[in-house]
Amino acid sequence: MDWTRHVASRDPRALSGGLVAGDPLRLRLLCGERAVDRALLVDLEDAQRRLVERLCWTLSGRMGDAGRGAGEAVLSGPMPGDARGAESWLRACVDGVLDELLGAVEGSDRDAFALMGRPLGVEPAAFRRGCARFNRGPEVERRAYMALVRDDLTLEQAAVHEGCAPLELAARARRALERLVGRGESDD
Amino acid sequence: MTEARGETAAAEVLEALMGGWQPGRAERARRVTRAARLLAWDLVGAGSASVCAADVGDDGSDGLARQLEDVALHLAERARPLDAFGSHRGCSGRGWRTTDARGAEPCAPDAESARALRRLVDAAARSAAGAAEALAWRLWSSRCERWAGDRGAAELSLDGLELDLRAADLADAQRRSLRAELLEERLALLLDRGGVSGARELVEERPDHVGPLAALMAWGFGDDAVASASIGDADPGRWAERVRAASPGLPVPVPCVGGAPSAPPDLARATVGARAMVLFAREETGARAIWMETAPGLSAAAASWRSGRRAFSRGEGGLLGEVKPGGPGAALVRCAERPRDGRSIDAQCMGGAGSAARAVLCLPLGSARSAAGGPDGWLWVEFDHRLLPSAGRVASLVFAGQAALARRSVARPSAAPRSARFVEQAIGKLARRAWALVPPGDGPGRAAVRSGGAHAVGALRAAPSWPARRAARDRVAVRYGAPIRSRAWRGADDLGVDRLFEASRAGAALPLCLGDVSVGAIVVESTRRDDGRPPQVERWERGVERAAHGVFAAELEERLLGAGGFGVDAAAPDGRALLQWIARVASRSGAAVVEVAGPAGSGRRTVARALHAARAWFGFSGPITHLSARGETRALTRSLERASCAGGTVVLGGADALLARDSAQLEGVLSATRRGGALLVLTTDGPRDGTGRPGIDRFDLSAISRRRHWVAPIIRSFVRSRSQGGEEEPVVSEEVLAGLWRQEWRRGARDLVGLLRASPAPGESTVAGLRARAEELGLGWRDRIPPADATERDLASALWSSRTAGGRLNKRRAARFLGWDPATLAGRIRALGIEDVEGARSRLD
Repeated sequence: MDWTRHVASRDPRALSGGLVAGDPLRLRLLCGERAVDRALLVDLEDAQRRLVERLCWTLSGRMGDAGRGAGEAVLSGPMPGDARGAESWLRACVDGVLDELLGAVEGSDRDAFALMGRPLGVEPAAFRRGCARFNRGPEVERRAYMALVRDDLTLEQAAVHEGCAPLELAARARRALERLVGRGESDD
Repeated sequence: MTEARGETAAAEVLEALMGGWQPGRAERARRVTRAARLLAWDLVGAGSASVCAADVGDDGSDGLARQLEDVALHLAERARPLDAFGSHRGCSGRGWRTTDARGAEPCAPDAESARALRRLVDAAARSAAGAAEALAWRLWSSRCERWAGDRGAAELSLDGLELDLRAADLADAQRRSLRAELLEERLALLLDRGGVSGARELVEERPDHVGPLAALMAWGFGDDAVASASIGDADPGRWAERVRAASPGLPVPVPCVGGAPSAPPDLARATVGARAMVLFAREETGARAIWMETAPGLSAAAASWRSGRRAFSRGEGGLLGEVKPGGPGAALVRCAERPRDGRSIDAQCMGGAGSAARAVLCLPLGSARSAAGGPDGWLWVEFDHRLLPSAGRVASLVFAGQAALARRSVARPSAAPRSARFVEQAIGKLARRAWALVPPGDGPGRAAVRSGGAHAVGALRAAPSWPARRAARDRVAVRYGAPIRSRAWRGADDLGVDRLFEASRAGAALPLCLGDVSVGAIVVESTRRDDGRPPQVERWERGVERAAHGVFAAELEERLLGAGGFGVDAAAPDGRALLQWIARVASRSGAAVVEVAGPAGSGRRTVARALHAARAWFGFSGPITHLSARGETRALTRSLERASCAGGTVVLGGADALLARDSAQLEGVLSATRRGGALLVLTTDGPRDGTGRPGIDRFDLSAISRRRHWVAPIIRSFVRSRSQGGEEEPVVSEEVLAGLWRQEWRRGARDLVGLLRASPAPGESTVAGLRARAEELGLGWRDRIPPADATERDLASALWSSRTAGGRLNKRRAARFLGWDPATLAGRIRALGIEDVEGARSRLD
């Protein structure tokens, strides 16, 4: 992807321009991909924003030889110099951001939880808590739930996809659903 | 209903999972699951893209131009050269990516994507259904020129367009809409040049015009109706400050990340139709622009307006409101009294991202101009289209609009209902225009791009919605949407976007098919209850089919040009017919027999190669094999069987004799090909009795001397193939082009290409050098076509070749092609009555 070239270029100006001007580096896509792969329920905007912040902070901390002007600064330190290294490095950054968000229960009244939950009568704070519980649960259970709910698979298809028996998959999905719904949660 | 299978299956499974739960808890689980499903889909669609057109005040027609416009925007915005599509597509896990040959994905619009956009605009212009559509595409063409930095050409195009707009037979609404766009384009052109005073004069000349740029200018020059405004330029240099403000805990050592100056003007030129973000709101004291963001192209002008912003801030105690096109929604209104939160980083990011902002939504909040003469209120927002992929984004726009309306309704309660209707209509049009192209794929969760079996036209979108996947997979239109109280729709609900966004009502996923091959789907979502009815869907389907062919023909033209040796004037009727024929034949699956007929040197083998290449893009693999039909039938049958077993394409030269043989022999030969599953291309010298063989699709190529308008594309193709890997395509001088154009080319295009091969690079050739070389090769050379020998078709071809970008004939240039003086040409034109481009085109049929 394009960002590997940017990161590997070690040119802070190009990189910062890429970070700021829209999302040409596809950080949003990257966050979405990882969240889907890990079967997480997170606010994508939040993840993207945190990733940008993290990159800005990390990269700015690694920039600059003392003798160079700002415009000539070169990324230094453990920054990977090749595209493959840059890719894994950036993926690690994304994972770090997602890990941060795993248990996040705070948000604004206009975040994705509110946006998606409120029109359906789900109180955003409760939805946030439910998602946090869901995210902290075992990945196999999350994946089972996602296969049924997100991917529209039948129980049999999902079982084949996840490599387990249908009943086992249903049990996993139910446990994930229990976490998501919670006990004693109310929308009223 | 089959359309609702995914939802139904999920619901059934969910019910099973909740066995034994209390009813209240089960109901909550249903709602939470539905919300989780939306949240999960939002993640799946993170890389998706939607495009909305710049004009939302149109009549909502669903013509080819609209679809192509969106595809063109996609291409430009995704900054992907056409070369990035096709063989370099790859699959990465459950995601998709598109890379070029080097594995890199360009991130900024470059010359290649600008060319791609231009090609598509041209293709759309050729397919324009009416005068309004044609004029709209010419406006796009002018925009392309502006983005390419050719401001002189853009200005000339606009001049021509204005004249033609006056003469065109259009409905009043169409004329007004086009005139407004034209004026905005003129303003953009002036502002790009730094001609602020010229822009001011233009605005003052047209006081009735109320476009956003005009309003910006009006405010900038002290229009009393617009009390004040704030402007943020596109300076990413403040990035570090914003990081620090949003996340105080993060130690940002130096403002080095955002050390870059304002975005370069090139990016502004590349901005697709989006220039400014302005929120006006009317209050007791008059209209007020409460927030503006400008694209980088306007940054220079913004400097002189900053003092106004400061004064405004001092006088009002801070910004009254702020439009935040980032954050969870594409646009949010935030009041000054609320503490600054971390989301502002997104707003600023978007504000600084004028270069990346592509799509525009203009919500007219009330009438366009109030009794007081000022704008009553607009919400003019530009988005990075990547941030507007889903109904969630649209919903946030509604929040923004509602917030603005709420503010207004406090001041003028009576205005609210009317404004609400405006917002609803505008949102409806936006949503309806949110096209998405998805590659076909049947994997769960995300449509997968297959590198072999699927060819994506124009742009890709990995869309999570099952209707799109189903439409692409099953090649049927899939309707879905909110519960519409109609028998026809009962049970067809799926996503239930109404539960997310009250105004959403209907949606349809339309298969994008070329022949037997499904190349994707287009998703149309509407917020209007009456949209997406079966008759509409049928109309959309027809339009989509035309769009698929048009886009594919444009792509094919470019690819063939790049392949070298094959030039086609796709704008001319005969060129277009050839490309469409290739698209039709190439998209057929299974064995097929076609005939390419024409005299020697007319390019029969090149067409066969083009067919083979086109089939490869559709995923039909195999080599191309050239055989000769001359010889003994049994040997030929054996050779054909062997060659066709490998699939691919078999080109059988000199097939006239074969076709003349008795039908039993011919059938024996042809069945050998069918058994192997290859495409058999028979090349012949031309029609034997005026009719073809039953079951054999034939295309007739005329001699190059009868289609001189193809000479320039052939030269261009040759030049491009020679400059592969070079930085820039050499420019062939007009004189050289005219010299080559008027030759006899007795042995067809092979003479032309032979001469080019034997000469220095065309960019460095002179007429004298070419003449000497042609005489050496025995080709002869003439400085003019003798007027007595010139056919009507020669004249039409010269006039057609001379047309300008603005769509006019350049008779002086045409005379140069023919080697005549303009008076001679004028006399012949009068005799023939070819007065316009359409007249020339019709003579080329």
